Amino acid sequence: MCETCGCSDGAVATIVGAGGEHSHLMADGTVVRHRHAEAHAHDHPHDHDHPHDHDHPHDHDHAHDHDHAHDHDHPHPHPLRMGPGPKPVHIGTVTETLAIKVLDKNDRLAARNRSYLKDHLILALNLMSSPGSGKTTLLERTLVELGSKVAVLEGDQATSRDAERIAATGTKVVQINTGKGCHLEADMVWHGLESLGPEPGSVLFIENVGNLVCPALFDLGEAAKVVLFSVTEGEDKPQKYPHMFGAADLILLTKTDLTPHLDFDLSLARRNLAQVAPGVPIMEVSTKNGAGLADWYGWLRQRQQDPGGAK
Amino acid sequence: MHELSITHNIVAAVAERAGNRTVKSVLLQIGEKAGIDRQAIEFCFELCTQGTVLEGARLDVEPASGTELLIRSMEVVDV
Ligand SMILES: Nc1nc2c(ncn2[C@@H]2O[C@H](COP(=O)(O)OP(=O)(O)OP(=O)(O)O)[C@@H](O)[C@H]2O)c(=O)[nH]1
Ligand SMILES: [Mg+2]
Ligand SMILES: [Zn+2]
Repeated sequence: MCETCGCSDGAVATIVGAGGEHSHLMADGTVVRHRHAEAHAHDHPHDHDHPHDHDHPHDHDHAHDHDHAHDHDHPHPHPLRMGPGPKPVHIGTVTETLAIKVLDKNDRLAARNRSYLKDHLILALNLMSSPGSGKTTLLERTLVELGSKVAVLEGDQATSRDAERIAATGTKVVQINTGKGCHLEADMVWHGLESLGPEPGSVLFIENVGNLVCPALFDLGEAAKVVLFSVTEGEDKPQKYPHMFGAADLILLTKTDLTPHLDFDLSLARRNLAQVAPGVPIMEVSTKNGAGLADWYGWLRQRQQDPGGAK
Repeated sequence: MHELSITHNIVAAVAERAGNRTVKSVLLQIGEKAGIDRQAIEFCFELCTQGTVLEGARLDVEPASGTELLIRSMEVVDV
């Protein structure tokens, strides 16, 4: 539900741009875009004349491979039953082979994002972690460090709090509210990009919904996945959420300033990470005391040299 | 719960192929490492199919060992 107007029933995501303009991305892929100028009551029964602007290239290029075998596999011999009683009503069915990859649609939309980003030399990074591992705090510091040519897409189920924190650094930001959804999907990022309009050559940080489970499954078209893992979460998280850590291109062990107060065993955490994410670089950082941030900035600058580059 | 959006995707894909034919059952293949909870999908399926040509359809799930997440087939009313 849209916080402002409650008009997004059935929407899968709400994208809040600057000045209150926002779009609702509906389950069928259409976009409802409008602005709430003032707090006028939305008592009219959904008669917004919102432009269903399908100006973006809806690439229906998926191969409709109609190779499905029409195997009439209903094994009933239709005996001629005369006699009394109701006639057997039979509904014949056919089984069609489909072989559709469920995430195929998201993967295709992610590929579209990726080629857009590559064409505009934008380095897109997908930041993921459990809630509260320090994604927004790291961004606040990083954006100040990088200065110009940065943009942020913020994903949360609700509120624009993180976007407000990012906007306070002077960075272009768009909040995507996923409502009931617990992760960002490629089409949300596409529409987020439409309203964000990141500058060519910039770094785009996509802060995913705080969740160690499903964001790992959804490709957004990013150049790299950065997974944060804070020292207060326990050394066993890589084993408990192997998909997330296994998908990472870089792992940041965050809040290291807290280790003196904890029993957290950094070397055990590193060993656990190496098991599920072999060969993935790990950096220890603290936004509180600045430790390790130079490594992170170094990694970013190196990736900026080749924004669309392979992982 | 991401199974809800996954199930939406499944229902939409099947409905697209079915057109106006009624779907009686859907066969999915879900791998052990797909990160998808079968029971959650089953739960969402009933919800997501309401008002579609899949309403009331049975959901069958075939296990697999990898990261498979496939719609294998659908059974539609022969017209
Ligand atoms: N001690 C310490 N606290 C930190 C550090 N980084 C972040 N925090 C604190 O951790 C809390 C959560 O930080 P956020 O940056 O909001 O976390 P997040 O990952 O963006 O959270 P969600 O967006 O809700 O998933 C805040 O209270 C931060 O001040 C750090 O390096 N050290
Ligand atoms: Mg945050
Ligand atoms: Zn999810």
